[in-house]
Amino acid sequence: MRSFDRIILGAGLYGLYAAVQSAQQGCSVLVLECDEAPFTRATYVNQARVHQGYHYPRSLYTATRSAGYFRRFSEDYGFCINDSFEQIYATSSAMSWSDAQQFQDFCRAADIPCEEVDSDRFFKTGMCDGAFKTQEYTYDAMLLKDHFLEELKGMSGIDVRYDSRTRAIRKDGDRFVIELESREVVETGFLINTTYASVNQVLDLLGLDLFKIKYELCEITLCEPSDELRGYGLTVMDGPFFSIMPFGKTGLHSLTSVSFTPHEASYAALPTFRCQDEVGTYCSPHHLGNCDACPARPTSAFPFMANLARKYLLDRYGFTYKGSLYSMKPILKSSEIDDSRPTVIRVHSEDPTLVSVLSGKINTIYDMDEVLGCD
Amino acid sequence: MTDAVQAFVSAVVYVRNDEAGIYGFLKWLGPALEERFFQVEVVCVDDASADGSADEIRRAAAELPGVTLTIIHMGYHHGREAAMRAGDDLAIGDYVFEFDRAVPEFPLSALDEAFKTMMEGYDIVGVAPRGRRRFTSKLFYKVINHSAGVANDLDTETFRILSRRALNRIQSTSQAFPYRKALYANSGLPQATVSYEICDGGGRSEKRDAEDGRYRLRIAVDALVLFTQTGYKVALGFSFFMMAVALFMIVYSFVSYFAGITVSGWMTTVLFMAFAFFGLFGILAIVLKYLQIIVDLVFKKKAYIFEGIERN
Repeated sequence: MRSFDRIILGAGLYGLYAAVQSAQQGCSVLVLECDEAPFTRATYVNQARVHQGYHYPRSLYTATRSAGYFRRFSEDYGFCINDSFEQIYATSSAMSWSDAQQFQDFCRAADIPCEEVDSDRFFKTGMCDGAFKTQEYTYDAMLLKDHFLEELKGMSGIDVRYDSRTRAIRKDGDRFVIELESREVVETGFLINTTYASVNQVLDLLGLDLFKIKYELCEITLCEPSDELRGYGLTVMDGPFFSIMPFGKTGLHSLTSVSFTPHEASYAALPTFRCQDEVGTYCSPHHLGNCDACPARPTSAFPFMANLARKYLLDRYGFTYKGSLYSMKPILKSSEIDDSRPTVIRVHSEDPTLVSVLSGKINTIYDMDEVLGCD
Repeated sequence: MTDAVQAFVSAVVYVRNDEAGIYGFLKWLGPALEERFFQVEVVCVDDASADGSADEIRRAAAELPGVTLTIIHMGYHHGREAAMRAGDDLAIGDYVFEFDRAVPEFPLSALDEAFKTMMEGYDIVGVAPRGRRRFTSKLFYKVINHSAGVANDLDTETFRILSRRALNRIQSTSQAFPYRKALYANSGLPQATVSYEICDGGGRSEKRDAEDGRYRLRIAVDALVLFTQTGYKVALGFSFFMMAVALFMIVYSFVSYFAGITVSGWMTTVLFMAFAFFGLFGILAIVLKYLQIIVDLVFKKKAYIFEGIERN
């Protein structure tokens, strides 16, 4: 049985960040990833927004937290950041939880740049009661992945295993003993759970208290923007609206909508979906497969998202469908009212240490520094 | 119609305490729309129903996998006009069907007929039954059509289709929707009415309770006040008439005084009262004029409305 100072479950951004930070402190690290490569799920399949807080006009806490890390992330990982576009936020005239004035007041309170522009430049007359030029970027997950793979190559003491599913975890004195599907057994005194949508599945193996989560099977659509749209990201707030913005440095735009991006939701403690019945052992409430590679991916809701966007956007900001990406998104039930997306870092036990991380934003990785002991 | 039309349609359905009928209506309408149109979205506006309407909608949604169904729950009872406005705001279709009543009282061919008419170049197509009108409905439409100066006559409609262009026009015309139909009629866009023979609605007819009756009366009065000049004209006319009467009293009191047919003090009393009433009704006329201007400012945001611009 091989022993490691730290074992990290999940090779997404949070997992690899934790691995690199740990190795830099001289720890021996094992990263276990059930897919065949890193960054195949939530790190890649999302809007790729480097948040500065604009998205949370009803949660000043989340906003200021994001804003604080925005600059640091943009500097540390500048090579994967696309900042060569104008990010416009607008508040819908109808059905919005926040209006233009409230959005402006909120930006002032969160101390983030917000300059009013003429909403008729982008939106059909009367659809939005305010539009604002903001400062927000998008990151390219694939460039970020290359960077991390390069960094890992040059480091000793890190072992990353792909295609390795965890079969069982048990506590043995001050160690966690992990049995893999390959029958290999490894152990550690410090286990980090950065599996995001699978966070409860790991905790369930240990019989621990689960996070109160609502699971959403989400679709991000990718589009080729018209020349007029290319230089802009457009987000309509705050309710059943949409966002169309550059997807990293790919040249494509992602199109998402609050009502049509989630295809199905599960309120069970472990993610339980009808589509799991169709795919055998690939995916179950105890082990999530990768929705993006799944044969039972839902039919695209692009026509709905596109019509919603076209209802608001001037015709010159056109786009054509290129493809869809799917992923499972866990949302803390407590954050539905204020729409906050807190980064939760829960230390379940010490000696042996078990830490779970749950975050829907990439630039709050630094929140982990405290538990990783690299402050 | 055999092939689904390449169009994205939304159906906005008003629901208020209708647990008995809403499931059947959605199960009837949903597949009918699905087979006719490429993309279909149904928006049910649950106007604070106190019964099991919402559960019945969910039950129908679960059995209609091809139809995207959304429910808007109104925070409290808003009434049909405001509730339907919320539904229209949420709908994303290129064409929006408005079902003010969830009653399957029309033949499904009316959907085809109405859509076909729309494709002929109309932005708003109303669908109304032939014959059969309540006396009160007839009277209301007669008054409003006669005196509101609306471009298109209003009539009792079962449902209607609006183009996205029409909805955008209305959105930018008036924020407060006191009465949608008058706004539609005055939107300046081409519109038509399609009629059909009434079918029995599967034995169901629209449920009208006292609450609904009161609501309809209120909307009717509001519509008459806001969209016709009737109230304003009557009040202003009466003010001018009373001013004339006061003026006559002033003249009459002088004549009586000089003719020597008065008792002591009568002249001053009558003169004072006549002056006071003349002033009072004069002020009232001015106030009425102000009120009319305020109503115009609030409900008619745009100074003019055009149908289109043609360059030759």
